Amino acid sequence: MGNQFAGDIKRRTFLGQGAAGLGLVALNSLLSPRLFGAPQAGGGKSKGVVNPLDFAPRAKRVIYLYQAGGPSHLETFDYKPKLAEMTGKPMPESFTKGQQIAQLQGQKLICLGPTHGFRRFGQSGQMICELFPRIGSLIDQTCIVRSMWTEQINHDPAHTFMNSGSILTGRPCMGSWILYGLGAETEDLPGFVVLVSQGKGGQMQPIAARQWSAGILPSKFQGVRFNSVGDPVLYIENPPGVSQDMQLDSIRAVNALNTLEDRSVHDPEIQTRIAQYEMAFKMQASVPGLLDMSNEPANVLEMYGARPGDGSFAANCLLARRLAERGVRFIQLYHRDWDHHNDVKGNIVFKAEEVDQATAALITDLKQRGMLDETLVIWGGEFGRTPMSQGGSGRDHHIKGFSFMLAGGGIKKGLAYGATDDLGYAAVENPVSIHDLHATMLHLLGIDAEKLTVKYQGLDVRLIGPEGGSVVRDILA
Amino acid sequence: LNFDAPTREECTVNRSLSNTPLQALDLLNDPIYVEAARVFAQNAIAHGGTTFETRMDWIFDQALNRQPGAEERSILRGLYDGNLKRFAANPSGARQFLSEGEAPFPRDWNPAELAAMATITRAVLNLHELITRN
Repeated sequence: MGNQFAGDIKRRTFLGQGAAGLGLVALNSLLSPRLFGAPQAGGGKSKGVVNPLDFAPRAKRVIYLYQAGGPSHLETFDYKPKLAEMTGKPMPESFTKGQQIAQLQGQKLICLGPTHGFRRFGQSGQMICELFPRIGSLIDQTCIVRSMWTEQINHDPAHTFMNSGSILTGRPCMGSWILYGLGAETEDLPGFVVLVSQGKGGQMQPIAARQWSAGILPSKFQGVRFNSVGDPVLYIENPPGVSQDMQLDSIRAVNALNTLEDRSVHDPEIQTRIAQYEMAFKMQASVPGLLDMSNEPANVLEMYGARPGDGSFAANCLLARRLAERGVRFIQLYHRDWDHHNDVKGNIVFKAEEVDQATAALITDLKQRGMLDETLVIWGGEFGRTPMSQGGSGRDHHIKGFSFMLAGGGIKKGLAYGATDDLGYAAVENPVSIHDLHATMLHLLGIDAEKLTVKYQGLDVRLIGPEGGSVVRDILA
Repeated sequence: LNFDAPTREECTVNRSLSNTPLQALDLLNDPIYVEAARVFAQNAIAHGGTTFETRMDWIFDQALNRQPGAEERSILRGLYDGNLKRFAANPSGARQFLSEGEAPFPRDWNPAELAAMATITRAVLNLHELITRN
């Protein structure tokens, strides 16, 4: 029935445009008045809608080492001797009264001191948990933010808030915003790649694909997840008997037919489909080289502790560097199983083994290749964990204070920024919200977070939400 | 998962709709799709009349519930002719292509013609119109 409607907009498409499709119109005109505005000072060109850039960029790309499940700040970057003294004693009510609590509701709140020792690292002499000696050895090159806080106390909404700046699903996540704002540096790989690994904890907590969705932005800005185990990209080879030029002929024919379809139904998804078929063909050429680790020297593999293709965080860190080298804009590595409701002491040992060496190797490797100055590396989870014990040995979800590590492009080195109170409960000195983190990240990439907006349902939707966020200038180099 | 099926690790009220190069690779190169396209082509030759045009009509009717337009016919004709030439020059390549999957192909048919027709059905099975309901 397609033909008799040729030239018309299908009812369903038209209605769809009320929600998503109008985005196309908006894309072309409304949403980017900046495209037509006078060039601003300082910027530089980009291939996205933020052109020229709002500021001179300090970083070209982001590698986001997302520690999913909620890493304990009290067993990583936030040393709390006072809490150690309080172990076994009731948590003072002055801290917890009226505060939100996840699973410890209605229970007696007892302090649990750091379950592992801390020691000083580097010239800056920062106290870091001794389970993380390799990250500790790089402490003079990184910035630890000890005063993060978030709004959401359960995993999924906290991930959604971290990624998209909103607790409502359907908003674009940060990688999509960045790709939308800056465009891609690479023509033959997706500009936003997601890798997922899990640890020995075996919790297997879900990370929904919504976390790298483009939401209300065109779907070509969504993250593309590579497999961690086995073939990272499936079906990268042509069928047997089909040569590259035959494959290209087929893809050209599919795209030509889809173009005809688009001419009659005007569905913006068709343009994305056409672009993705082109990308698929380019990836057939680029991905084998990306994944061929045979040219990685043994000492590099050893530095990461990686066996390529084993699905580990270490293997993904190495792959992340290779993606970064090839110009991928936003690389997000999820490492799961940080949800230590029980036995935080034992479980954190596994995590340290899995991430300490690989995280340090990635930073070192980027530095050796001269890429660290243009790559923003972010390490952190969706929230932290309670200074109160859960069941005697674990820690519950905690939103009032936790830690992040930042390194690379435009980040001040050897700095510990902000602080929680004596018991590691709430960020009291220089608190940093998730939107502040977003604003800072965009700023380093040359984008003014206030201005990167998309019209949707009558609102100017932006990553930093209606309430906004501030660039944390004190942590900028 | 490539096509937005929820993992069932948690409930999903609304599936996110994605549109990725991984989907394209799957539909183009996954052996099961290649096999499906080839058997579709066998059926088109068996049931779609005797000319290229009637077989096009049959393929579009089966896959898209409509008839192809003139421009569509011309695009697919070009694809068919090009592939027919290449497969005719490379019969072992044609047989490799036809051997993908488990369903047998008729050994007494001209392999180049069947392979070229399977290229057409493979293209049709990759159309946006076919793979999305929206």
